[in-house]
Amino acid sequence: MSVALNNSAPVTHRLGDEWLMAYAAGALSEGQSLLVASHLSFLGDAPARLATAEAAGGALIDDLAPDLMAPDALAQTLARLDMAEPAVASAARPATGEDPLPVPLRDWLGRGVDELKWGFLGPGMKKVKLWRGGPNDQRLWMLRAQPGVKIPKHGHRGTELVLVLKGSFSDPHGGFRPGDVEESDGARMHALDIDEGEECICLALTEGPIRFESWIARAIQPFIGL
Amino acid sequence: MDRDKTSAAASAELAEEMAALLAAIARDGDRTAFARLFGHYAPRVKSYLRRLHVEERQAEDIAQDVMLTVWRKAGQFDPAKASAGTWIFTIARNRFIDTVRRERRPALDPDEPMLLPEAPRPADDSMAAGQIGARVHQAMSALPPDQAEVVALSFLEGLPHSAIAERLDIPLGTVKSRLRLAFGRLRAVLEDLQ
Repeated sequence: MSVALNNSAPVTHRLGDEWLMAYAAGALSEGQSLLVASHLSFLGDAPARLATAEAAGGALIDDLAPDLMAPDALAQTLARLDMAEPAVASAARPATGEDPLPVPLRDWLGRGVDELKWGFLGPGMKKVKLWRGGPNDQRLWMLRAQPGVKIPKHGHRGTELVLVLKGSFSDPHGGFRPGDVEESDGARMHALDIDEGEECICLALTEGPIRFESWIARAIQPFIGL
Repeated sequence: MDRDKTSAAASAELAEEMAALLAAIARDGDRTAFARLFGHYAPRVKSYLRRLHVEERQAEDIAQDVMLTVWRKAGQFDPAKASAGTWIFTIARNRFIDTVRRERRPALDPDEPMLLPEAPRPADDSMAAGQIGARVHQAMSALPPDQAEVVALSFLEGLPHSAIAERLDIPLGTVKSRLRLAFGRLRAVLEDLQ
């Protein structure tokens, strides 16, 4: 048993291995891939587990009936071997400092958490939309909530994945800390309580617009844009 | 039983040969080794891309590009971590996502400060290269057909879980549990190697 360097507790809510398999297969959308890669960044055994999932792809490729290559394919490729490798402009990685974003997410954003354009979500809550696409109208966004904030009961049309990056929250299904993911079926309505102590930053992937239970929340819902 | 043994031995031998070719490329820039590796993997990478519905011309181009990357990065191949087939699969998959789906998919960063240090690996032995390939191969061919089917739809057609459920007309939860079971079997087989 070992403990992540900058977390005081190990990850207790892991995504199921079917997500790892889909990530390895390249069968996830861009938004889902970002969330899964971010989650894996908190898990020490992720590289080994990912290698296991990717091994399935290797075995399948080994067993595929080979396709016919162009007659001059090898000659063409051999001719290119001496060409210099195109220089890949590697974007300067922003300094980590106290930034809670895992590397895959920070690389994708190209900036830190305080440089994002946070917008109003509700009292004590801010959000930033990151991506929208894939099947089932997926939306990837981040939530930043003050300690003690209560997020009203809500659901979605499909799967909701919430990865904690900083702070923690609780709901009837348990306590969620950095690295933990809560996966909920959209039909199930749930409310979240942000724990006291420090702000909470989460990466969320939702399908379809948020559906709030209370009429007050529903009334402001059109302005949220999620 | 005998046939299984023969095919396991054959796949171990092939995996070992492919790993040796990659080592020769990394060490000596060996073009003959590259030609042999190309002859084996380029047509399979193209076949994989065709399964993902990439059109003929583009699949040909990407397969050649993938092999060029294999040449350039041969030094990064670690036979203690993966078989040559698995390593080449990951390059092909990433290239497919980049160029066909045009998505930005950041990979895990091995230098990620949050990642725990990995357990120390056993000393690099020449057995590993063929062993990993053969074991995975064995585990994959021993998968129950319903698990093998969802793994193939996931990896070879790139279908999301929901699309697999629709295609097979089974509940989403069944797709997920079959993939979890398949992963568990692979993991059990590879565990004592890692």
